Amino acid sequence: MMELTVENLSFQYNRSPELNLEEINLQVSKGEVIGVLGVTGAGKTTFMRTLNGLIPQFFEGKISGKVLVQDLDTQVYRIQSLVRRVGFVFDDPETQIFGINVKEDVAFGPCNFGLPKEEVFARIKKSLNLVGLEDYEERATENLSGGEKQRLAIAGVLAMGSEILVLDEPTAALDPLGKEAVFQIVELLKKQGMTVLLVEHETEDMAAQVDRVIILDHGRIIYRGETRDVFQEVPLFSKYHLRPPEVAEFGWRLYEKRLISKDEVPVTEEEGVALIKRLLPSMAPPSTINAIKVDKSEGKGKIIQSGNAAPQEVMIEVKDLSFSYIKKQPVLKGINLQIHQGDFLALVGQNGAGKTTFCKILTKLLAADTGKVTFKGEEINKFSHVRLAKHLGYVFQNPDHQIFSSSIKEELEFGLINQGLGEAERRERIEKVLHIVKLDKPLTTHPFNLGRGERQRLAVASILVLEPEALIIDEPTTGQDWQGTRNIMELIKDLNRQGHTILIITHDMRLVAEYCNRVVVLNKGTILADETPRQLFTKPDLLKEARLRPPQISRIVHQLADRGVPQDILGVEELLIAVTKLREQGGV
Amino acid sequence: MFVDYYPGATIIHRLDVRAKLVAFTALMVLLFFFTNPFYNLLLAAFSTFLLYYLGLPTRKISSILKPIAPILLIIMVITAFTYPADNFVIPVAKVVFYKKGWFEVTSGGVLYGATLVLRIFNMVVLSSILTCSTPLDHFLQVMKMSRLPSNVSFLIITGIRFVPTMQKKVEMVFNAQKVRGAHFDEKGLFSRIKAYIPIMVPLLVQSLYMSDRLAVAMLNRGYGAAARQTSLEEISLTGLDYIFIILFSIVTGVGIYLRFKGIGRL
Amino acid sequence: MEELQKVKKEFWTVKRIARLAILIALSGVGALVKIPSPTGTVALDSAPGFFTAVAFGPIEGMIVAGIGHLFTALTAGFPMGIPMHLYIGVQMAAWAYLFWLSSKKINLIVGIIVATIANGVLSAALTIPFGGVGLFVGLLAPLLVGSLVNILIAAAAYKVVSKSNLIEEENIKA
Ligand SMILES: Nc1ncnc2c1ncn2[C@@H]1O[C@H](COP(=O)(O)OP(=O)(O)OP(=O)(O)O)[C@@H](O)[C@H]1O
Ligand SMILES: Nc1ncnc2c1ncn2[C@@H]1O[C@H](COP(=O)(O)OP(=O)(O)OP(=O)(O)O)[C@@H](O)[C@H]1O
Ligand SMILES: [Mg+2]
Ligand SMILES: [Mg+2]
Repeated sequence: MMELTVENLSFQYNRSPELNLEEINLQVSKGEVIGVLGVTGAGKTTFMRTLNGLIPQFFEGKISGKVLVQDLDTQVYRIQSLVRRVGFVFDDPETQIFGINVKEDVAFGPCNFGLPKEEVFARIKKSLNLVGLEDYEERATENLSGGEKQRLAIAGVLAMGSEILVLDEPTAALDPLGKEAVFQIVELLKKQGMTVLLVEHETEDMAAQVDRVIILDHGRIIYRGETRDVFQEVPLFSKYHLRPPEVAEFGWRLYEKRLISKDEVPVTEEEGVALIKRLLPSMAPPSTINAIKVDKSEGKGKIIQSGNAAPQEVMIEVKDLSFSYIKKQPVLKGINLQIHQGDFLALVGQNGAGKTTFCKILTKLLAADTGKVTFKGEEINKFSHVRLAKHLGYVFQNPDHQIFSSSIKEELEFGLINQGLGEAERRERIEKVLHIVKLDKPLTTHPFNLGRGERQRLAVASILVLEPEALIIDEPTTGQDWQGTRNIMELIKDLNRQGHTILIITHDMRLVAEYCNRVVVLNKGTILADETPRQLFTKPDLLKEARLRPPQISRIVHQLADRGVPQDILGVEELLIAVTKLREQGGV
Repeated sequence: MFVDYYPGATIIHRLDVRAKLVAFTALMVLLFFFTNPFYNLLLAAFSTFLLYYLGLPTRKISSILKPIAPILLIIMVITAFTYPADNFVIPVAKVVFYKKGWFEVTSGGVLYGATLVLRIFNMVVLSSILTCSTPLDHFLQVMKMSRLPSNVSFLIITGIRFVPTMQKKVEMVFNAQKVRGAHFDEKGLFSRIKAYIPIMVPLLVQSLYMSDRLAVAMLNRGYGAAARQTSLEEISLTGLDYIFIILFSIVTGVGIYLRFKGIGRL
Repeated sequence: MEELQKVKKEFWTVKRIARLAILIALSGVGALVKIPSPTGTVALDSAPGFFTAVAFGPIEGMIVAGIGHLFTALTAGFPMGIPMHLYIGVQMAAWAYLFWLSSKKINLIVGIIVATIANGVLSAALTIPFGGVGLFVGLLAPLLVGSLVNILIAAAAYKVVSKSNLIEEENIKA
């Protein structure tokens, strides 16, 4: 018997104009781990919802075909019965936690089934152990970190005794090590014989974990295969706007140069290291290490490195800033920072490091306990919010927290009216900003009828329309697919080119490497590092201390020091050049 | 949590929440039995003693009493001036201090005002004693054990669980408006109301989005699978609780007896 | 395993329970949203209840308004004593019903007026057994202003939200 059987499944939401799933066929046997890829709106979540009966029992629509969980038809049995076999973990830790403390939360499922008390307690213990949250029983769920919350959510599902686990973007809001922890749990569960379906935009970790991959597009499975086969097919990824692992991209380029066969294209970090070691077999003499110079300007997407450029005008200056929400538990401890005109700065650090808190102080949403913040030499305490908004814009992480009007026009006008601009100038500014963010919907469109990516653009536009000199953007790409991520980053880069000073908060080190000219690491309330991404990513120890993980290529490079590969390489292109040069030098 | 529980080891802390609820209800009924302020004064002495016994910080006590002080004052003054003598039956209450037309200040009015003031005082103080000495969790357990439909108790428990989450949402929405230079200090009531629409709309919209996700998460954890849910903790009554319950039943009984004897009227 | 039962028209659907729980929590924190007014600050604690009544019908409105008031009181530590708040909770449920009735049967403006009078004047009058005429007089002005603000904001929010597709058609008609 198959664990999961999907036969000719098609589905259309009641409110949807087109089919959301079309002719899906899939069989999953026990113990398999399946990765699901696809752009935003491809139907990944929709497909997962059919597996435990949420579709069509909760989300209604037209359905045809069949989904069998073990031998149960999901259109016949109640969701509450199906979830004992299929557990579902969502991307949003907030709404899937019910208990006021950890124990209560894990108990929620088993209690709903009316299991005997002893059994419930046994399951709590077992599932908390599995996710590495032993001894957390009495902790208040409210105070858990993002990563802990997501692990708790997995425990809550495991406690129901499900043998099939569906994870829908479980790591969207987590810092790199939090992501790693979740993937480690998947590995553990796989060893225990669980069947797992994993939806992720994060392909690098997925490549190392899953047995098979399916790619969805417009509700159809457009590609499927063994993990290696799929990830080695790099052009497929760009065709469907997905992000291949950096290492696969690198391997594909070597394949194009006929340096390796297609079968040799690496898909994981380990494979990448092994491949390069094979390509550079000779142990380079120590004297030649770092002798290789990679012309950094050859790398794509680089912005002028501010490293040795003439010092720019200081725009924001932070001096001895300290802050605490609760007495004696400082979140920020004596921060000193200068942000220069034209900077494209990334603020990174683990979940709870204080990044958002810091930005709230810069924008006067919180008042510092000690220290001061000045904007172009003037203390920000002297600014009103209206005046500050003209100079310093703040885009929130979740666009739905700042969108409130019933049309795009009203939304964009809000800040302008607050600044007392006249009708004509407002219209002009709105037109201009819509052009910049490339949002070409009628002005009367209701914002809540826009897609998530478009709402993010609108949120950026609503701040941008005030024409601030500096922009702070809090996690602009969370939950976006690769295409959306790139669009937003390109937009921000354009703004930076036009002279706006940019500060972004992000957990995506690949973006930091690719776009920013400066990165500030916040850890335990202090600034641990403030340098260029290139410099930062050569320091694995420092990164480890801040619970950060450099991009995949940098991780690989760190394991190749003995082969003479320069340690400050960033991205696929540079590694390619380095490897080629080293081979030439070695006479290979 | 947001309810002001003060941990402690007093007898009141140790009593079972059900015993406390019985006592509380009995006291609330007694408050309304007598119009003569003497009885409420007795109760006020009792509740003040409890307040002292619980050892609450003074800051907390003043935060309980300060908001009601002006209301109590208004009640006292207005009642004293608006109850003519023929409202009262006992001679002490019929003394007229001042009279002009229908306007009459009587001893009864003053006494009745005092009763009302003491009544509210007692209600507020006793409520605080109950909530300060009992963790919210215990109330919820009583609710789960009671005959309330399980959906209703789930509703309330989940509501409480989401208060901090919603608190964060409120804060975020406020901040998002502020950074766009929203004026919350407009002149005129109506402009002010208008400035708050941008707060309420995203909050409600967010709530609706969230509630859909919450519903999915509930189903996902098997909510409604079995007719009876397992209850993990049970609270049990001790000897002390029974003594307490009997004691308060007697007091209430005495109260009823006195009331039917016609004692305690004005 | 039990058979999937045909969907019964039951009130307590999971969707509804979830919605009510969130809206009640929102009323609980409405006390944090304070508008300064001539009669003291007005908290937006009853707006979610009134909104629910027009958006999702009378029963939901009554539940959110009633329990929501208790939540507001709970977060503030029952400033007027538990019995008083229970009593006000019942009233709030009644006013939410009235608001729904008058705005659906006549129109939103009438609904606003009716509910404001009920919540402002009647509620104040209903405190007489507790605090005599004194309390009535003391509460009249702040209650009137407070309920007007809450009801106006609930109505305005409803106007905006009903233009999107967030409230299902069935609910708008109901
Ligand atoms: N409840 C719903 N009613 C109507 N249409 C819906 C509903 N939920 C999703 N859709 C639509 O179905 C399509 C598939 O959405 P789905 O959420 O499955 O995408 P996804 O692949 O999970 O995307 P993402 O990466 O953004 O999570 C989208 O066009 C979406 O707008
Ligand atoms: N309103 C608040 N009250 C009390 N503590 C808070 C509050 N907001 C944040 N904190 C705490 O302050 C610390 C810093 O939080 P902050 O949100 O600034 O982190 P962050 O770096 O932005 O994390 P993330 O990457 O998860 O967004 C955390 O420990 C958090 O729990
Ligand atoms: Mg999805
Ligand atoms: Mg943050």
